[in-house]
Amino acid sequence: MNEDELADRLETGGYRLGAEAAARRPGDELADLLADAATWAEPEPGGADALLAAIGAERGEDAGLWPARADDPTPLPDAAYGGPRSVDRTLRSVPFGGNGVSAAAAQRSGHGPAAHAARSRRFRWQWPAAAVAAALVLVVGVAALLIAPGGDDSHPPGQAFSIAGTPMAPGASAVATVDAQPAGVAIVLDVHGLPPADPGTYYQAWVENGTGRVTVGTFHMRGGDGWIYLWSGVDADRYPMLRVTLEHEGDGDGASNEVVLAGAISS
Amino acid sequence: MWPDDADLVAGFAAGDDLAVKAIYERFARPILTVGMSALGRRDLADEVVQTTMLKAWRAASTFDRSRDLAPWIYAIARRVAIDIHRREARAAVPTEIGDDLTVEPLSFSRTWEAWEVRSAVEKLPADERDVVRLAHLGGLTHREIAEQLGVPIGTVKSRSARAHRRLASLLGHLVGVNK
Repeated sequence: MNEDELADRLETGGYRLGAEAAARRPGDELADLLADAATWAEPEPGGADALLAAIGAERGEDAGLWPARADDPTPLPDAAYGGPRSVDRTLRSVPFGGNGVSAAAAQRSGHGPAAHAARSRRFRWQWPAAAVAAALVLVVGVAALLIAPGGDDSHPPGQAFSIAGTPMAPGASAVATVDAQPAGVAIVLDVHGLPPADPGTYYQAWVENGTGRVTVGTFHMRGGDGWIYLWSGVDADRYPMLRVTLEHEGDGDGASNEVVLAGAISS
Repeated sequence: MWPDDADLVAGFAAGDDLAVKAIYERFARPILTVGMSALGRRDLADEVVQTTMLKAWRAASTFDRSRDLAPWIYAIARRVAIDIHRREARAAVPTEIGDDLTVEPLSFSRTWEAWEVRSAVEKLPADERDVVRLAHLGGLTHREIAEQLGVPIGTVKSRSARAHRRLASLLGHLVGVNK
């Protein structure tokens, strides 16, 4: 393969919905990465200011007042880990960097000595308050686990994978839990932020590889966030990509190119 | 402002505001990509960015300035991601309900490729990068991209071709292409 061939391979992307059947070739893994939401994620605004503030603190401008080193984040208690659902929600409340430095706060407060002193005074109050807030979040998370239908058995068994929203649904995300069972592969999608499908439309989930795709179910999300139960008759190892498309009733059996969620379901 | 990376690292080690911001602007995105690829969660990936930057700053005074800067920072980011993964795995030790819990799979083998792809994407001109993003992440056709960007489809095609030639040139070493 030369550079021209690689450029062509990258541009045509042998892994996309609607692509002609094609065997996997060198370069396809790079096309996969180009289609990965991680390749396009933007850092949190104010991150550089948060870094400057943390550096200032370590250089002694706030000696003795900084709550913790950034590489020694205070871990949440084990009980706070309630599986992907509760972890995601709990840890989102932890300040940026895990060291009590909020990027937004750093952006607002600047990073000069006076700002550091003011920020340090605030941290004296914020740190206990953050601990109380974290405890409340923990209590709510545990309570949510306890009242969820099925109690401790409510979390689906299997291996969990992150599924990202595309630009068509940037606020959407999902955790796909994949469990090979005697009858087929059970896939439970824990979907958040995906808008309800308009009347006349619906969502359709597909598993695919470089040579084809298989539908694993349809849904509409009109009842809000929740779990979607899908079944696949093909192995996840052979069909390692999952995509969700928005479909229009009457448009036929094929997949539209309106992809709203995409991600790998095999490691 | 910095003739080369050695001067940039010197400014970074000294905590110079502009140098710190320059390092952050140049490497935060690839670090974030590594964090998300390895850990699969945005909150943890943000932590990878911040912790990697701090560790790099702490170690900058001992950095061998004859070496390339990017692989050095990548190595720190990968190490930080591994540490965070281990911490999260420990937090997930089964208790009464643990058998139902899973930790997302870790794939560190491809994080260097993820870093390189992100770094290459960042080197594209903005108009070409937009076309690549809409085509690959959004799954849009050239016609749809043209409509979204408000430019002729021929412009989209030429930007796409240029962008992918640049990417092939920047990434060819990963797949052993012949020059």
